[in-house]
Amino acid sequence: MRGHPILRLVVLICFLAIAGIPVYLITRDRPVGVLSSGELPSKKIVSYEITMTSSTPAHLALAAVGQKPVESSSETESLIATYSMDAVKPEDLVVKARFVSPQKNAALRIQVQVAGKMIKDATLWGSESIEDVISIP
Amino acid sequence: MRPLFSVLIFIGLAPWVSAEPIKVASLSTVLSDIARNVGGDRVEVSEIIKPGSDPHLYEPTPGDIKKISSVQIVLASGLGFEPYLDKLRSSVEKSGVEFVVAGSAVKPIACAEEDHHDHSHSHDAADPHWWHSIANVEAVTLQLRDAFIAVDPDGRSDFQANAKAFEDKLKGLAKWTRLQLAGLPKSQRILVTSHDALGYFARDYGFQVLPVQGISTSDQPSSQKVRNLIKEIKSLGVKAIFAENIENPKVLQQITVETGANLGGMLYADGLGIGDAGTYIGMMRSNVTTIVGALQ
Repeated sequence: MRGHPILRLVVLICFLAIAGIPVYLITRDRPVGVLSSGELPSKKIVSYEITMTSSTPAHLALAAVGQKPVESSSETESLIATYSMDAVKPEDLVVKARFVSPQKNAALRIQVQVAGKMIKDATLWGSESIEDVISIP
Repeated sequence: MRPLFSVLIFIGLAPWVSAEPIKVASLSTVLSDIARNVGGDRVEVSEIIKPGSDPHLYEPTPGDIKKISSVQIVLASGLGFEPYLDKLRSSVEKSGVEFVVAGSAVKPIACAEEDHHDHSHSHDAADPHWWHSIANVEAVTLQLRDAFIAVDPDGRSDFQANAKAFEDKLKGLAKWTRLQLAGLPKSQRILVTSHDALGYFARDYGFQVLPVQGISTSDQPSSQKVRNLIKEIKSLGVKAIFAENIENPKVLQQITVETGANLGGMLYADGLGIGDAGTYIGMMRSNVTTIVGALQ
């Protein structure tokens, strides 16, 4: 290429800079949805009212990670407990019922409410006992 | 009179003469196990893919094609898990082999977006690792039951009883899994694995999966991806990361050094293992026990 050498140098540098832009875009660190340890999102804690109702008298028990287990002291047909948990990722509930008089199809209903609104309503079936997990949406 | 009497005896005894078992070839160790459970003695299963081998890297040999041509049913996962499936179908078309593809019986989930950019072979948009959802395995159990009945209608009651028995075992497995995982806080339900094979498990049980590789073991992670993964593991406080029975855990060991997370144990991702993990139920129990033990 003819012309002033400094001008040639400037043109070459500009060309290399333009050619380098796509290389930079491909190889740069892309931001990832990562939170630094000091920026944990604040949890929204809500009260979940859990009602367990049995079709026949039973010993009822309820548990969840990070919560105090609740158990009926004697045979009963219902048990109510309130757990305060993270609204975004509420923990699963482990429910148990041991029926006093085993039946062919005894039922255990579990209802979960938040501020009076029903968010989960499930029924489990068993004969002598029931043990299962209820996930809260 | 005697010849007539002999013929009548033969006709009377005919139902008690055992029928030839249905010849089945399986391209998946999980499907082999389901087939044996549903088929019982009425089915003879030839495993084309064996436990411990990497099905992502498998290509049918001429010997495999010859074996497949001689069976009545071929079991395949579909959803892109076997990229050679269409070619295999054309190779054995004339032998009248019926292909039963599990992917048509399950509810697929989409691959993670980044998996599309990080692989070297073609696959459908769905995640092909359907067996990590027990509900999917229940659906495939019924699919195989119906396929066997179509070929051997006389075995209907056996296939139905076997399928029901296996379904009951699967329901028991599902309940056991729920109870095991109930003790694991939701904040700890993060799976860092070799490749992205546990999407269905994550969906069913509320886990987040952070894979090193993409949807296939042949996908190689970029150094940028590994750097980003290390940052994410550190910020989320992940306790353990998991190798797989097929993969070399070298990359994962490097990540444990940089993040301080433990190597949590081995997971069975692409099929069954040996010993206790040589059945579907054994394999799932092993995976759940490993996950809960490492993350709790």
